[in-house]
Amino acid sequence: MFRIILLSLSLFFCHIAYAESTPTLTVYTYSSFISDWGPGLKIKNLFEQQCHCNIKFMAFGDGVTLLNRLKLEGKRSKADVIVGLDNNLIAAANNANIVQPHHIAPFKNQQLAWWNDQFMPYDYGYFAFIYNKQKISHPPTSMQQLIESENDWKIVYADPRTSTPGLGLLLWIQSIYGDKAYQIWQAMSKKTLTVTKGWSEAYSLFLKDEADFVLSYDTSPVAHRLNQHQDHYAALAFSEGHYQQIEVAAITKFTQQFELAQQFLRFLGSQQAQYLLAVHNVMHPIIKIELPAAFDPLITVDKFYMMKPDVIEAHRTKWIETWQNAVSH
Amino acid sequence: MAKRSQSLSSLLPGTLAAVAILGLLFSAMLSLWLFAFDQTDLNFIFSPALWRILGFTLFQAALSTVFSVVFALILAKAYYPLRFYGKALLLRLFALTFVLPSLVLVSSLPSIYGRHGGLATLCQWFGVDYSFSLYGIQGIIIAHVFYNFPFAFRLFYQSLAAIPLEQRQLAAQLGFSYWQHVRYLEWPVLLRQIPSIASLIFMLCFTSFAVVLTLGGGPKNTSFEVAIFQALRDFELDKAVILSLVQTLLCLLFMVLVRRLTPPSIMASQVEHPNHIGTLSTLPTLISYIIVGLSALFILSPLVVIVINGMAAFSITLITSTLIQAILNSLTIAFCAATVTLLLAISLLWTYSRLLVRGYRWLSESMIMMGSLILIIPTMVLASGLFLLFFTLSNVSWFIAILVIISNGLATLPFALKILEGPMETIYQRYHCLSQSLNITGVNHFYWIEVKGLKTLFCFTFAFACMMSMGDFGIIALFGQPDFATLPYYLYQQMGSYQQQQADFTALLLLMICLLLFYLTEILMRHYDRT
Amino acid sequence: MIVLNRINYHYRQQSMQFDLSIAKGERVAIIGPSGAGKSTLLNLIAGFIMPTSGQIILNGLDVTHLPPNKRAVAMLFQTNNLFTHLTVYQNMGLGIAPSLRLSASEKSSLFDIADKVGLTDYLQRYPHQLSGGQRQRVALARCLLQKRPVLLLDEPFSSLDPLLRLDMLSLVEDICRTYSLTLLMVTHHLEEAQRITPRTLVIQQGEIIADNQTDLLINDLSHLYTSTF
Repeated sequence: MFRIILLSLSLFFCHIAYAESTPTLTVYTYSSFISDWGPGLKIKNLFEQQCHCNIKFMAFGDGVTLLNRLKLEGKRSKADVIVGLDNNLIAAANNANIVQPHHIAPFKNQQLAWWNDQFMPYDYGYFAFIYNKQKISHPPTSMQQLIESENDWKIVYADPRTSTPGLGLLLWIQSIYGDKAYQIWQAMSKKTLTVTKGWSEAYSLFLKDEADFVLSYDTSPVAHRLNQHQDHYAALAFSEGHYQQIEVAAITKFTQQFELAQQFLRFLGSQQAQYLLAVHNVMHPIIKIELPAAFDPLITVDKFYMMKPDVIEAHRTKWIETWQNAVSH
Repeated sequence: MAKRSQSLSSLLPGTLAAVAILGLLFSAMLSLWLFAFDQTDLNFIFSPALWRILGFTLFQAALSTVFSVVFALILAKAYYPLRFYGKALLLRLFALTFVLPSLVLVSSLPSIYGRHGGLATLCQWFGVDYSFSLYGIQGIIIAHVFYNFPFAFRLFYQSLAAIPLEQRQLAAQLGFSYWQHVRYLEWPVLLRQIPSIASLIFMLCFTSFAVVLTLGGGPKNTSFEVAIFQALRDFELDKAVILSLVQTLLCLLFMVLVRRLTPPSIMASQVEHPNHIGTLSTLPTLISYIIVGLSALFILSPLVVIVINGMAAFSITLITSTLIQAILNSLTIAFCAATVTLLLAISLLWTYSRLLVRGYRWLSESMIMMGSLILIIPTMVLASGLFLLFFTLSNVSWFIAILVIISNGLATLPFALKILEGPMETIYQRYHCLSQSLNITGVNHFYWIEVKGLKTLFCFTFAFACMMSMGDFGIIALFGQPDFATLPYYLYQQMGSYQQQQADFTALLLLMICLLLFYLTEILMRHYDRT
Repeated sequence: MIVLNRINYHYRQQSMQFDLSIAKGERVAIIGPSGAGKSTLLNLIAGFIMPTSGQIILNGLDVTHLPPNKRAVAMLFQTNNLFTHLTVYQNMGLGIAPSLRLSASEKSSLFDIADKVGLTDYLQRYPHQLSGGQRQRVALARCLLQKRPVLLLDEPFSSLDPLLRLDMLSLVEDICRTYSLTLLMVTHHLEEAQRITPRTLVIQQGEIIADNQTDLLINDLSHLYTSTF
């Protein structure tokens, strides 16, 4: 009797010891990453099998909210890894002094020609306008055409002040037109249905046929093909080029588990994770992998823009003001 | 009434509640303030753009309030004397507008009023050109009226129903015409309600965010809260705190002014008299039915759209364990939050009614104002402040749950106060001499008088608070705990993940659960009804 | 039993002075024109309003600053005597204990009194299901259950028909005799005063202008009434 108790007690303590020995990696990300339909949970399961560790996800709104949360936490932050900032937020993140170099080399087979020592890319996309193929037979082939068209087309996009894609549009227009942005915004405002709080509202209005074009990602049609098996939607390919958004992951300065964090980041670049990211995050993977047929009819982007982070930081407020003034008449 | 010595049991509940609320809000704001000024130097200027924004916000809030109140008055007057099958059901359905998350609202309104919406299609059939654009101040007003006019209508209707039977008998005996009824009997009662309802609606519209941004059509029609949100997003915390203070002060000022204008209430019967005397002649009855019909159409059409879209989107695969968990979480949080609301409301109103009877008008009003404070502090600011305040506990699940429950409870408090204010004051005023002479005080008084006398109203307020809490995900965004997905949070996730059609089903679920909640409470209320 | 010593009461433009002394077991009527201060007097004695100066002594105890529930009075108001959302039984029971937790003996005295006022069959009804007279009987029964030595009635039977009024008056008289209660009753009906209260106070413009045996006053009253209003 006594021996049985001793045995079970020791087993119990072993189990506790084992459980405590599995390290926990705290990953901060944005909310749709770990939703039922996002890639997060699936990636977590795969990684946990490999690493014998525990991943704890914490989700905060969108990329900007995520960054702000980290800024609020400051040095006391418990985050090990940040997943979900993008190239436009890099300067702000740097200023906040929260990440450290990841010491990972670019991946073999990479199709994305961008790399950063502190922020590792894990997927990317191009901002593009989406339209319904069944409703519009002669879509515009350039931004100029879209804005100057005589058709009664309505565009909907999210506010650059409150949403990441909205900011993307702002930077896109700035990249193409530079000082002439004001006039372009004025012309666009005549065709604008409304400016929404976030991408969700804008996309929802588009799906309800309220708007003919919505600002979204070039990969959006993939989502409809994969989820609803619908092929109604396509992106507009502009001759001027598109603005690129790269989503990045980083290791925080305050982590106690650098090796594990690095392992996780490397895992994000692995074949399995990249596939999950492509299919569930609906973005382009950074390495060349086999993708489902849904990805085939994507627009080819020959020319793309990406502004330097410090340029964005320096001019963003002014550009937003320009937009506000141009669109408020 | 001459002033009398205060007893502890009168003052304690309200004071405790007020101190707790003030304490929480104030310390949250303070912690954010301290953090903000720790980080940056004060370099904030009031730009002309900001004044323009303030002006527009005041303008749209005022306009929305006027329309909501006027429509509510018209409908209350029209609705009251009518008798038709489903009258009570319609009353319940009207209350549902408060539960809709703004995201659902701004997606369903275009289905009716949009370019390719129901109205547009109808016009097409008749060959009429539909050139109405939903996006602009007109859209903002439609959305705000949709949200607020049912609540105002319900409160006005309640006060009409509380007009003592004797007065109606007198009016019938004196042969009052329709307009004399209005002038002598109904208008004075309604007038007393208007200032406080108007101020509540004004504040809701003033602080309204997603609706203004999305239906406003562009940054020209922007609200003040957007400026605060923007400041937070840019991490200009000092600007955010200062703007929040400006908003708070403005709204407080407005509240105080409005309360000043409110004439003191006169005792009304707390029993509803559903059998009104006399019938209307044909023309007013017809017009009344038309008004009710139009109002029903206005309120129900977006709801119907949600139901139709939701059913169309249904598939059994949508019932995931995450969804079920979200529903359970929402229900739990809603029940707990509603309890908090009811406790706080009763405590505040307990002290309020006792102070009012003893003539301390300003002190009693301040109790009500405490309860409404949360409306004017932006959620994100509050969340950030709370986060900083409770940093060490900010990753602890149960603590976040408590914070969410408390903040949801506080958010529905102003509405609970509005519903219970009149009746609690009336019942105390009516019986305070009697209860004093019988030495019924404290807990006994509460049980035998407030609870027994206002049981049905308490039930309704609880259901209402539950319902409002279901549709709100409040401060969760900044606290990031995925274990707490609530139904609205789940809906937002869906809409952000190309699952718009599936989100329609979630919206339908939300509506159905709230309706169910209402029905359950109705059964409960009927069980308690004394007749 | 009841002594009002130089009581002064100021309220808005009204100023009232009361000086009176009522012995234990006395039954006194209070009459006078409307607005004279009859209800005010009762409220002062009961403790719902505070005098500006003076003393109120009940049963030898200075109660001037005591709240109503600490004074040895039971009062029947003009309106709102009953809790409309509680049953007759509950209304009466609250006269015994504010928590409505009654011991066996308390319950039996409740049933006794209910029987005395003829309400045994109505105990589970609500006030709105009773007639005006029945409601007053419930209120009266509750006053009795409070077992206070002083009973204050403020125009209790004015809305009842003459026959019922007579019945109730007899009941009150009977009860006062049985329990040795001191009665102060405000009334507009001189015959009520004649019937059960040997002594009458006449109040006009906030003052007691007459205090005498009812029979003696009746003859003068018509003169008083016509000369002043």
